Amino acid sequence: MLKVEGLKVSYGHREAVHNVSLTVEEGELVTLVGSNGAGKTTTLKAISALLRPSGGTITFDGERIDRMAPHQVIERGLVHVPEGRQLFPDMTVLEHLELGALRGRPGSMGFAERLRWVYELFPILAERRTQRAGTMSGGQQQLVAFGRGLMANPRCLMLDEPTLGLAPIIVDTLADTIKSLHKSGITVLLVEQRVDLALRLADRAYVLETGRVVMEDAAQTLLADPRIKTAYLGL
Amino acid sequence: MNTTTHSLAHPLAIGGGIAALAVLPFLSGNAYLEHLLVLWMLYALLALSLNIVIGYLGELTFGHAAFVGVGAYTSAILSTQFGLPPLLGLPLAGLVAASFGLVIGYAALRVVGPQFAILTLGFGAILFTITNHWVDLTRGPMGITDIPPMAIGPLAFDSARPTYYLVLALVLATAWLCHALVTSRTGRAFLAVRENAPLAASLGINVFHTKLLGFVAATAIAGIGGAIYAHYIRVITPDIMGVHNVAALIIVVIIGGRGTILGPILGALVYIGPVGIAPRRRSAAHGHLRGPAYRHRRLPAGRPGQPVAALAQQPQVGEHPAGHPHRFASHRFAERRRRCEMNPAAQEILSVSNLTRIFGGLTAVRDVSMTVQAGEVVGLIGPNGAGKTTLFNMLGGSLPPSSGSVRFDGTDCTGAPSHVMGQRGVSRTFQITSLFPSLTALDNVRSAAYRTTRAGWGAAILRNAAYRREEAELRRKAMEILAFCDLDHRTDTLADSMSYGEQRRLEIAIALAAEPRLLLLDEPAAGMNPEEGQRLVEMIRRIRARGVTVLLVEHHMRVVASVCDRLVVLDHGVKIAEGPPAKVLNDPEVIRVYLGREPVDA
Repeated sequence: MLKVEGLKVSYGHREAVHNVSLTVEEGELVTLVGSNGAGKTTTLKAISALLRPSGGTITFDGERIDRMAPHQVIERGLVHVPEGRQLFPDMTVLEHLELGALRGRPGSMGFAERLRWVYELFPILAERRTQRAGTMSGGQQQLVAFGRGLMANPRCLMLDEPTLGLAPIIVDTLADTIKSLHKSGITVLLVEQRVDLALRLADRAYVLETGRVVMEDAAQTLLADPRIKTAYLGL
Repeated sequence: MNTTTHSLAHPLAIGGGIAALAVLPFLSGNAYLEHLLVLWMLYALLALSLNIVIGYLGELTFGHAAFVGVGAYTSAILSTQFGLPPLLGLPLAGLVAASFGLVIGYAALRVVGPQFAILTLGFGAILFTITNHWVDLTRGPMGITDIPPMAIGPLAFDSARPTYYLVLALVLATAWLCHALVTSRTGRAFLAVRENAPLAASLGINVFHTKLLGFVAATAIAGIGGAIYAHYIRVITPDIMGVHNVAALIIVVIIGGRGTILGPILGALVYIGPVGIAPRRRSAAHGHLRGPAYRHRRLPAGRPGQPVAALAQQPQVGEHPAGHPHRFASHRFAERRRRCEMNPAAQEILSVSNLTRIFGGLTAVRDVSMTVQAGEVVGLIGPNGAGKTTLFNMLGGSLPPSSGSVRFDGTDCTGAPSHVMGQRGVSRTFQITSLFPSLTALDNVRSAAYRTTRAGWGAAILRNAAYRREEAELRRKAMEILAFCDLDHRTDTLADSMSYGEQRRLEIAIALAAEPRLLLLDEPAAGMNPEEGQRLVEMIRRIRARGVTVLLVEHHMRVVASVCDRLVVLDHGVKIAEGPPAKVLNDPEVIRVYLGREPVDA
């Protein structure tokens, strides 16, 4: 479904992603793990066209998307929930959700139906629908960003650190949510610092180090790999 | 070996540049070009002063031409109506313009950004109108036409050449003033405020006073520049405050490179230069030089705070403090730790009672009481929206409590603003990475040491022994803190080009530079993988070993369990549990509302 080949991305003169190739098949849950600065976020930003790659190709459903504008990528159902919330502090929760639906993929579900779906997944958003995002706590803002992404009706969802700043109990709920979204047929590409959690959720995983893919395997295999245990699980 | 911390990078280039400027009038060969040289220097002077506001304080002002006008009219009126010698008029012009600056700044600097810019625009418009209509004083739109030239004894500044040297001297002096500013504690406070005002306040910098000081200094120089202009051209009209002059000065600063020293001087040349080559259409006696903006070639914009070319204050790469980098501070901190231990009365460093904060109808924090002992590491945990950050903001002073009290180190600090808490020794980091993005790591830390340094702008202008000693000391301390945070290899890297992990460590370095007694860390492990989390745990332990008490909000239970002596749990703004991690993390209520089923190896 999603295929990245030989991706290179630079910030000015500094190349942050050197040569990343990865594939995500329809219905898979794939995770990218690696230290800070390994190039995970940069890779996601290149896929969603927020950054223009300096080399390589990205295809989605067989169509080149690496020269498209971000909204064109979203219209095809490839939706990125960015790291660090990225909300508009003076807009309400509901306005964020409306905004998410603005350029979304037209689908079977209408706006009202989608809204109901998101409210069911995250009841706190229904409760706080008229609250301004800037006055919410950090963790609640994270859920607004997630909900906004879902309003675009994704076929493939890219999540960049969805559990950042969330209480353990919400992390569990969110993990369940990601699992059930995946079960309902949404393909997921997940970047997550809680490596154990990510590997337990995922089918397959790629390990990035300094802008390169250094390992690639079934998530279960990596979870048992001693190198992963020492480098990323802190065991 | 570490005698001075700053040096002008290329003394030869600077000397050569000054020499070239000094001989320029002799090379120009005609009076008109000499006149343009004077205008160049005048614009350079005014742009340098405007640059203090735009470049160093980061505020856009549309009012600068008005202060130039105030200075020009002050000196013109004093010399024409009261017969005051024009040379005496210069300092008075500066003084009057600065007084206007003080009043306007005091009112307008309460707001920032576009609102401030609009207020200054309004002020400029009002002054322009008053000047036009108060005919008795200003002679209205016709202007004042019989202004005498300046003179020192037999030397009269009645032609371009002597005036050029006078203004050149002032430009050089102002350039030196600006250089001294950016290498002084005061100037670092300017940059800190420009880069990140909330963070600056948390480090003990009074944001409002800092901005006011810069604004008043800039208006004083503008007033002096205006007075020289009046006595040189010998005619002034209200047009001096007009919109084209407002625009001209801003353009000069921007094309030259704001926040640099050479920039405004070069920008003025680019602005005036084309007039010299263009066919002469009219006398430039009124100084209405509408340099065609579209012909300006853009100069490379300097990095803010880093002068465009040779005048750069370049940190000395590879220069290390004498001896072991940890030695100085570890000694100091060890001493403080001993003091804490010896004085049982000072054991309780923070005491919060019945603290409450209400937002509209929502009670974010309700009746929370807690204490922190000196030398402890206390964790504050709880579900999202439980009020942890709100509580932090009240402790750090960025949010006044609705009721209840905060005592820090035996003193009541309830409702004290952020910079006061910073001065008393409470430093904090923020949930979303917060640093001074376009400063180097070293300058981030040096700017943050505001609370512990003394030598101001004046000392930096004079470069006296106290200043040099403090700078050397500050550099040593900053290097030690960077080494402590594992950033000594990134000294000269700009903060915004660092990796996320490095930025989070730099945030802690910034907080430590203020030599806090209590450090508030808001989710320091967010976005870190378990391995990085483990390194953070070790760093927090080392921070405690320096004698700093730590209160942290964190959701990574492995971090919390391994570093905290005690935990406080909030839920819906209320304290629901408190105690050692092993007990609290097995509390059924805490598991129900916060931990869920995630296993914790406490």
